[in-house]
Amino acid sequence: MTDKVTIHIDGVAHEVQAGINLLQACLNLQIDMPYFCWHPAMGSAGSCRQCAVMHYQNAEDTRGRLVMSCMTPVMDGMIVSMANEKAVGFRATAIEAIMTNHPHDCPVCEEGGDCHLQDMTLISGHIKRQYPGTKRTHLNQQLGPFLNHEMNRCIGCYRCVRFYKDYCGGDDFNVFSSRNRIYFGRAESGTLENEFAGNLAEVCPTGVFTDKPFSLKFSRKWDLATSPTVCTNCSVGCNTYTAERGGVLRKINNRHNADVNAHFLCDRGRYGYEHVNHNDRLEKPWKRNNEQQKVEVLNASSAAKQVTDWFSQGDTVAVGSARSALENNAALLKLAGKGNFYAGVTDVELEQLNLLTQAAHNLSLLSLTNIEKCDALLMVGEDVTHTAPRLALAIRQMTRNAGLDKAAKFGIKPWQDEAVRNIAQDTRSPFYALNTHATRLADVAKQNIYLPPARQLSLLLEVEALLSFPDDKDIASKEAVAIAEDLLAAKKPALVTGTNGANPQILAACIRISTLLAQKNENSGFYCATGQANTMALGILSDSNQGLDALIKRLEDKAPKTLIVMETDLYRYFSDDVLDTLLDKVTNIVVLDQLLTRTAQMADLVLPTTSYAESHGCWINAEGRLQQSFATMAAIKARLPAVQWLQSLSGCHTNEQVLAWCAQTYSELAPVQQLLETSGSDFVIARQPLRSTGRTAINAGIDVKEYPPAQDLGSQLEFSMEGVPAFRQHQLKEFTSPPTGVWSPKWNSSQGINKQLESNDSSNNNGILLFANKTTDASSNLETDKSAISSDGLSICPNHHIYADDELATYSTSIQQLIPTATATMCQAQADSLGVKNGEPVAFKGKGHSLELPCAIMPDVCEGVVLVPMQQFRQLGNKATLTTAVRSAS
Amino acid sequence: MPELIQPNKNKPGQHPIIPTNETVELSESEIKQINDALHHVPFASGASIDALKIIQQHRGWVSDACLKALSDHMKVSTADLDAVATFYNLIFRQPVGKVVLHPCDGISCDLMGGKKIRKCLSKKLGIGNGQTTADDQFTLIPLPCLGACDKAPVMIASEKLFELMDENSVANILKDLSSKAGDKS
Repeated sequence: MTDKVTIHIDGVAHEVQAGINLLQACLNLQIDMPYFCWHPAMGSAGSCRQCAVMHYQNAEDTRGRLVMSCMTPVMDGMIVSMANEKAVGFRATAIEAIMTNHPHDCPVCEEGGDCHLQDMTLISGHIKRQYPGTKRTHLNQQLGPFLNHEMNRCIGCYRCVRFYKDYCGGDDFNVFSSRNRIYFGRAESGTLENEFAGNLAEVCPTGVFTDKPFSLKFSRKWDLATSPTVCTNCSVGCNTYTAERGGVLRKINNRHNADVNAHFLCDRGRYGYEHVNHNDRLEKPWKRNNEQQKVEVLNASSAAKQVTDWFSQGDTVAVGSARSALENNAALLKLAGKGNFYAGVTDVELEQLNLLTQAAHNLSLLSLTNIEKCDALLMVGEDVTHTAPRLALAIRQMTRNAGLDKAAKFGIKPWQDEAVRNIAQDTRSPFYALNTHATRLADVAKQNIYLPPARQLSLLLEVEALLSFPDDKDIASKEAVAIAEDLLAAKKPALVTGTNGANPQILAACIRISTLLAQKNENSGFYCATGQANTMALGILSDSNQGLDALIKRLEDKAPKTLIVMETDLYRYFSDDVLDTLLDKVTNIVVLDQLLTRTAQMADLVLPTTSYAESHGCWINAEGRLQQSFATMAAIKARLPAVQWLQSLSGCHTNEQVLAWCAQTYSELAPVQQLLETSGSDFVIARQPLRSTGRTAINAGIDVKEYPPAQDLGSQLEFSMEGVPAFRQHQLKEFTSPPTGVWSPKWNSSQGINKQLESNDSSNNNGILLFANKTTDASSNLETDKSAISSDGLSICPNHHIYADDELATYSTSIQQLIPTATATMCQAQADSLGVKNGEPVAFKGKGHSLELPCAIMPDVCEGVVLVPMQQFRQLGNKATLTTAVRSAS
Repeated sequence: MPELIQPNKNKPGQHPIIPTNETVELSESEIKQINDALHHVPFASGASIDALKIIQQHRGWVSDACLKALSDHMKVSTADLDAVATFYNLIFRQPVGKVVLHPCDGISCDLMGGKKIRKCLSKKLGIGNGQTTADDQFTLIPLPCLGACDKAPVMIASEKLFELMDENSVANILKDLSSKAGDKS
């Protein structure tokens, strides 16, 4: 347990955690201390003068002196007063001065009702404006598809620039000019380049940066119904709040989970939700009628009966989904049987997932919070900024630890941000990025090593050998020696890799290195970013060799009578040439999906499923953390979760029944029992806040009747304001689901979360770790195939992109705007040896598919590698070849 | 940083006397001076102020194109350079005249009639604070306290301190500065 000290605030003694600052201590004590420039993840700046309190030397001291509580460490026996007249007056004057230039536009400002400035102004007691002068005005900038910019509202707290520049390492945003003219923005209008820019909407205490896609369907916070969800756009499993009104998903906010995303999300997660509202959403069951060449609309029961009929004819093959909840996959698996269930990922990915799940019990899989605490890190084989973005932000923070340690030697606390950065300068914990090309973390790396996969593997083998025999330095390369030395010297070394590089050999080598490290240092750890939100669930559920490539083989050998494809677009993995003919051979194709994908267009029967926002479900992230997501809104039209479409066939009618079956059948999923055992409380939980206005009026344009709210049978959450409101939920221990929003008395803005951080740290709602139980099983056969090292030919490798790679996220118009054009990317030397110039077509062939991409020449791509966008790479497969006539240098 | 509303109607390009700095390629002597400055600091960003002063010395003012050229050379982002440039009053991000007049508007000078001097300067030149004369000779930028309160009211222009000014001396000083400005061109 951490040390405690006693402080006296206005004559009342409180026990608080030692080492923190007075502001944070006050907030933990539920004292409404106003502040602007402080942020729990970014520390204190001491610039806004809002958190002033009177500090007394001792009991005799009656005068005291004003101190900023965010800059003052708590000390045992400390005597402070918040209610002191001078302190109150100082705070009121400070905010009055801040407000002189702030416009009177709350009614038309999108921050209104969710505004930290509004909360603080009221708490500080500044309720009447006396300033009669003119206000300074600014020109705003176009900052891209994610954020609005309204500089007139700025109060100069610096939180934006400290987040963007210092925390995320962005260099295209800054603070300009001085005094009243101070301006936060870019040097010139343009899209903010950083992948975490969207957080500015939450970081900004007022309405300077607001959520742009939300503007198009704006609603006040008090009119939004919110539920705790899990982001489904990558394998990190960040916790989110999804908010809706009138059946439209309006926005996504961060939900604090101390072990995963803490305070920040990536822009793919924040803006990748528009598939929920998309025009291509399926609404009713459709059946193809080939004789009459038309589509029949079925009702739910006849559609379900049709599936049962086809299924009872036997010979059914099912395809699970990496973007669907665990329950849906398990139900499908249960009805199809293991031999007939194929995971909705490539065989290579499944092979890697199996390596990972088998080794997971021996490895210590790190949470993002633990990655931030590491002091040496090796990232192998992929740029996690594009595949698991929030992980990259954690790695960036990890590199600061050497600087924080240096500052600690001078007695500087980690939250004294400016002082720490001043002392640290470019002191960084060692971080090595081993990849085929430059990563977005290149600026904080000790060394960026760009090598083709085969040579990456041989470097890893050298590192592995050096970890066992640290003295054999003369036979290893410089890089390997440096990496091994830093990993061995570190207190908490970590290895980060992913399955998205599609190279099982590299993953196996990484697992071996981590196992070796774990033997030498029990604090070492491992993280492997997987493909999609629930790929890990498929890895646990499916047998090896039952991926999509195996499915294609099965279709080629003997087409089954019925093929059930759930929430997987096969056309993302195989080209039309391959699939069209194969699917034609299947008699009955049933597709369960949310959207009219290419695969759904080939179906004989389409069953519309719910999106994550309309259904409850469990998601297993890359570290094996099982998290529950709760429906934000009731499903409309004929949409049903796959579990319910399949209930008569699987025999499981509810999520609980599926989970119970999982817990019994799979040893890895046994901890799911915890979820089932937590008995519900007597109370129901409100999704809507108490102040929801216009509840009865929203549909008045269609119908003046007030219909009862939809019933939620799957959870204790209500689709209405009936039940315990959000601000009270976190105070009640009996609730096993996370609160349905961030509210705190007097704090309407989501900054109210900062009063709940202490309880969140010890919360039981941070997910269930499936691989927490360490076993000492002998690890499986992870020998490196020596032929993989010796291949000297050209490697075609995937080029990941944060906005281009996730299927559902690309339905968002804001995200579409930032997808780069597909190119074959290579360095100048490689282009020369292939005899292609920038822009000239390069032709590829693989998996029975051929395509051409224009050549793009980029520095920092290693020789011997041609990068192809992930989407094209998936279709070409691992054994893709170049068909452009290779005019080799010889 | 978006353009500020410019009281000065002179647009770069109309008056060749002020360099337009529309397209900028650093000259050899600029590069040499900047590299010298870079040698003295552990991080390139530490030389930002010096580099901006060098550019201004050669080109009169710092345009967006200047920042871009400097950014490419120093490997410091334009946003970071502009943050420094806009923070300091005497790094000019708009074109200024040949001579920049800095009459003091500190409290000591104001007690000794500084206000009258500034008004007189404005009237004689026909420009307000922050503006440039139509012939691009003078720009008027008052500054608080030049540290010569014993000789108030004072003004700095062309690196020279003018002491104990009165309304009669203003005309002579302007004439003097104007001929010097002419010499320079």
